[in-house]
Amino acid sequence: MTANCGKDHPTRLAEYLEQGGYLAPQKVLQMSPEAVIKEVKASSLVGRGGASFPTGLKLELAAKADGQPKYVVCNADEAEPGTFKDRIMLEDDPHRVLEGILISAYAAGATRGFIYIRGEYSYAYQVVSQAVLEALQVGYLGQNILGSNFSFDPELRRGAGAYICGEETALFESIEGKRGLPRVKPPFPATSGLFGKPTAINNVETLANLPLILSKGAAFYRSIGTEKSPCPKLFCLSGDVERPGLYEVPFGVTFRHLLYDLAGGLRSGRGFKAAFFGGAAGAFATIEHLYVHLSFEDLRTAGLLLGSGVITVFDETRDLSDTLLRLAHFFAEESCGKCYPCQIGTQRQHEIMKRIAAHQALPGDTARLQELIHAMTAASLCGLGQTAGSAILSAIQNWPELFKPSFE
Amino acid sequence: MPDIIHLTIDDQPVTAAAGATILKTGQQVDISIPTMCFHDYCTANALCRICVVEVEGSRTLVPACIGLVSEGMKVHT
Repeated sequence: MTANCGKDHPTRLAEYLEQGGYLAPQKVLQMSPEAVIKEVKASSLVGRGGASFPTGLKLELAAKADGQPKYVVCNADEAEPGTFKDRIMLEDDPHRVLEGILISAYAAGATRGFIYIRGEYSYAYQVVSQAVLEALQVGYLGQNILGSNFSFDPELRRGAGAYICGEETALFESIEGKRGLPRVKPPFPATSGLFGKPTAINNVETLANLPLILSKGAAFYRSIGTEKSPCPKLFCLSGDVERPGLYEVPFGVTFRHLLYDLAGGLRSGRGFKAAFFGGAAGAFATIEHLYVHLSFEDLRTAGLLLGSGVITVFDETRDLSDTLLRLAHFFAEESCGKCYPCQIGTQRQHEIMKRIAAHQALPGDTARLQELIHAMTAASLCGLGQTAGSAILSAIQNWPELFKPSFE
Repeated sequence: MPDIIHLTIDDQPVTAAAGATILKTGQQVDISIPTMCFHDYCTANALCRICVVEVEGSRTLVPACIGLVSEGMKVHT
């Protein structure tokens, strides 16, 4: 999937075509949309944005929902701290993503589409705009694509820097020109999404998988990775590692293989303290998790989560209470304030973490944090509040001594 | 969808019309669910989250002011 990444220049259309690009749409446009959905379902591809919803089912729900026009949206509002896979895909291989969007539009029966790119990604925006123009000129996008009666021309939109706009319904609000606040679900995007119409919204990496599935077939695709988590996955490895970066590995390799064999271990030969899995809403892995297999089922058993594929590594010299304070600050800043558990909860969480990081914790602060996080997780409107405390909760379990009152 | 929905709130069997909210259904049988941002003459937005209730099988708590009743639902306030 990342064959065209890391070449220091965006893959232009001519170069992409030489490598057999845009073969999948030629095949797909001969198939019925139902057959395309069946193939995607057979591949058991799940969403790569963090929630891991089955992609085939998502396309099917949008295809079967009543209402016209239907929309497809590419969620490129990648703002999860430590994630950069979507940026690299967009900057280095934009046509693969466009191909994926085209396939998803055909499958869902959508005639209109949007690519919502994070505001900070101005270079990615330029590259994708250029790629869309190239594809329009040769007829891979636009009216009557490749001589079929299917027309599709996606529009580009840029975010303005809000983390919450990566949440799908907040993203719709943003495209519609309103404040980016999440909506109450249900109704779900498949029936009432963008402009209240059926919408299939997918992450960049998910869409980049579609050309592979449709050109090589679901059976080939399933042969990579493990039984329950087939296919390749992009991991964003950062922190105190020798060679941080984007790694494409099949599901099921061990974390140790990724960290030591591929990324060269920890920087300056220091010892491993912890790794943070899954982005700001993730959980900490300790040295015991070094041999965990990187797949949905194994990580879930280990109490970790894959999220968007972020792994941030901390060596033995790091003060985790400082990291947690930064996370608490991040959520307090990025909470949109629409619902109260998250609006007030993230502020209180930040206050308590400030005390803890300054070694001025009060008696009962740990219990207070736990109660707060429980309330946010259970009662918040969207994923931001529901996961705002998960990192701190995981740290309380792993290193309770960090949270001890100062005078004990 | 059937017109009459059967559900239980705090193990008490209740019937409600299709399209009714959990909040209103509870009030019919004197089960009071506390609210803050809800008002009869305003749009319910489910913002204050005071009225959240447990629904068996649901991953998160459900706001009663907009949560619609469904057949066989088991609600705990």
